[in-house]
Amino acid sequence: MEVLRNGRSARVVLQGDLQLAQSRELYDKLSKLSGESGLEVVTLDFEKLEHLDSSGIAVISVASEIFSEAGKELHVENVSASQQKALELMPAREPNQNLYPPRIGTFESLGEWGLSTRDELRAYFLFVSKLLSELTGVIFRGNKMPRGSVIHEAVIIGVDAFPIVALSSVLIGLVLGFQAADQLIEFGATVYVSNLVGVSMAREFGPLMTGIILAGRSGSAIAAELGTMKVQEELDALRTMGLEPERYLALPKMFGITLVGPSLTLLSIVLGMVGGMIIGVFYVDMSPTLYMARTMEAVDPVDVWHGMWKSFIFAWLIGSIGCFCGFRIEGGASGVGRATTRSVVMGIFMLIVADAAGTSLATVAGGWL
Amino acid sequence: MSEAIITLEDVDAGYGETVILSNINVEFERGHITALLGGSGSGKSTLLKTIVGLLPPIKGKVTLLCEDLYALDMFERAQLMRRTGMLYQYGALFGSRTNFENVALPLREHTNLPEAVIREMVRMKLSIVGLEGLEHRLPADVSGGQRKRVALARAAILDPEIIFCDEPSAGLDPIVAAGLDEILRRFQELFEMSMVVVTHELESIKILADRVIMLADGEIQAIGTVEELTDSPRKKVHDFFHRVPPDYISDGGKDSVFERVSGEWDRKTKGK
Repeated sequence: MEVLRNGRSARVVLQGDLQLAQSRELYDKLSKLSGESGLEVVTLDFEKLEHLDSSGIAVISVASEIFSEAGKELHVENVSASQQKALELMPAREPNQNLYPPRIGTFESLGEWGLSTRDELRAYFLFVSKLLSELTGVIFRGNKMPRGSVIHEAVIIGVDAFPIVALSSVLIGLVLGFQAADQLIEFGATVYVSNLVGVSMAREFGPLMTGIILAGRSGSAIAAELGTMKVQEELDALRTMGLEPERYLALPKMFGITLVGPSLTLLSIVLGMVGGMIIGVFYVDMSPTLYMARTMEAVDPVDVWHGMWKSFIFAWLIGSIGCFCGFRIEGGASGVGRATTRSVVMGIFMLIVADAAGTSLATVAGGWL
Repeated sequence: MSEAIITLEDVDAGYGETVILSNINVEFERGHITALLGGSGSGKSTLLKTIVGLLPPIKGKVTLLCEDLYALDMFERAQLMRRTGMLYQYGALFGSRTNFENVALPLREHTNLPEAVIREMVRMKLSIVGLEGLEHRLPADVSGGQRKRVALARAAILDPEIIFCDEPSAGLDPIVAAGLDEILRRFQELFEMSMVVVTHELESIKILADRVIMLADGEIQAIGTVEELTDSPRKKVHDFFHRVPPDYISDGGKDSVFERVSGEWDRKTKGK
């Protein structure tokens, strides 16, 4: 393309094609011309132009706005009938029309986050109340869940998680044992390794470790499964068949995880103690009998009870959050991904909040919790 | 006959060792809308996948825009495919991106155009498909017909020489489907694009197709205009265009429960 100047006007002679490959060059040329002082009118000469595509049309449209803002004029000349038809495709922009949504400020986005969190919490509590109402229906009114579903869910959620919970618990016991031994050796009190590992595993690490593994493994799987079902309208299909998805799909998962959570926690506590015992025997030279005897002495049944009731609450939290995220999914495949991630993040966060609350409550309430 | 934009020579297409279509020899003409027609399982989608580079042919040569498609390396094939657009059956829009971002994606990835020009091009294409004002919605927040129109705007954003459409009107009501057909026709006329439309909707074919290629039983049954194929004496073609039900639909009567309980069956077997 060639630029011919004549005093306060210029003529851009377009030649050959004005397509994707040439549009950038025209845009740069017109942008430069719009900034030149003393230049008032620019004419685009179409006489030698053969092909015009939508990128060329868009460049002319954008340039006309740039010229107008700069107080200059942009004209076209020698436009053929087909080129005119193509140029007419570009709808005129309404004044102040912006293709981007307005930018949201920090305080506005903070407020938006607060409001959406409030809505989310409200929806979660509504969902939990719906679950509880379905639960009373199952217990007192004889409403049915699918036959064998609880066992099926318990196997999927729990039995398959057994190896990873077992391995993690032994390793946590080992690490706790090492840390305790390193500190206690200074005081010649390595015999207390068993006390420290035993009580920590029973009250905190057993339920928390199991909870985190369940949230990452089972909570996300629940959210993904229910979310996919929602995307494929399977939940709507159940409703139109007169089956409540909360009873038909969510409750068996809740029962399954409630059975499995405390069982896995018990396993985790025992295996954590075994991990500690390995350190006790091989690192601080305690005999296995002594280690076990001291553990039995140190760990009160209330400690195990504390871990068990917390694990029950954790299981309900993980299950209900997983189901809630799955049922609340919006959008297609990406929605499933978001729901899965949210179920893990929310699950682990709520787990830690519940753990802190439970431990504080037990401390305040005294010996029986 | 105008210039061929796609040529298939002695092509066998299928999956693994399973041949779905055999000995396909056909040319698609530039500037025309060609409908690939056939019943379910006739191999329409298989042929389309072979033409767009997703399914290498078991045998034969596919020439797309004068290039031997499967002789090109990955980079060259990617360059070639930029000159084409594809409208998928369910739109295949990215759910986490807005309609605007979906349509702008090929421009951002394949051109160095300034953002203002990209926005203007997206606005123009969305206005042609009648979706101005829905730029910032997510695909999940618009109707099925609107989603397909967004997908069409995306397929056409680089002004491709060919647009491939896989079942464009599937799942749409007749009015929305007619609207989409009209938009496809408009794109073809305005931008002189060639189109290959896979469909089994007779109404769409009548509105859209300049030329029809009908597939059945793993081979091309007929090529011609809609009128020519409607009057075709070949049984498969005649049955398709006149909606004749297939032979496998039973009219009852043979070896039915009624025969058994009424004693008819006993009489028949004893008589043998």
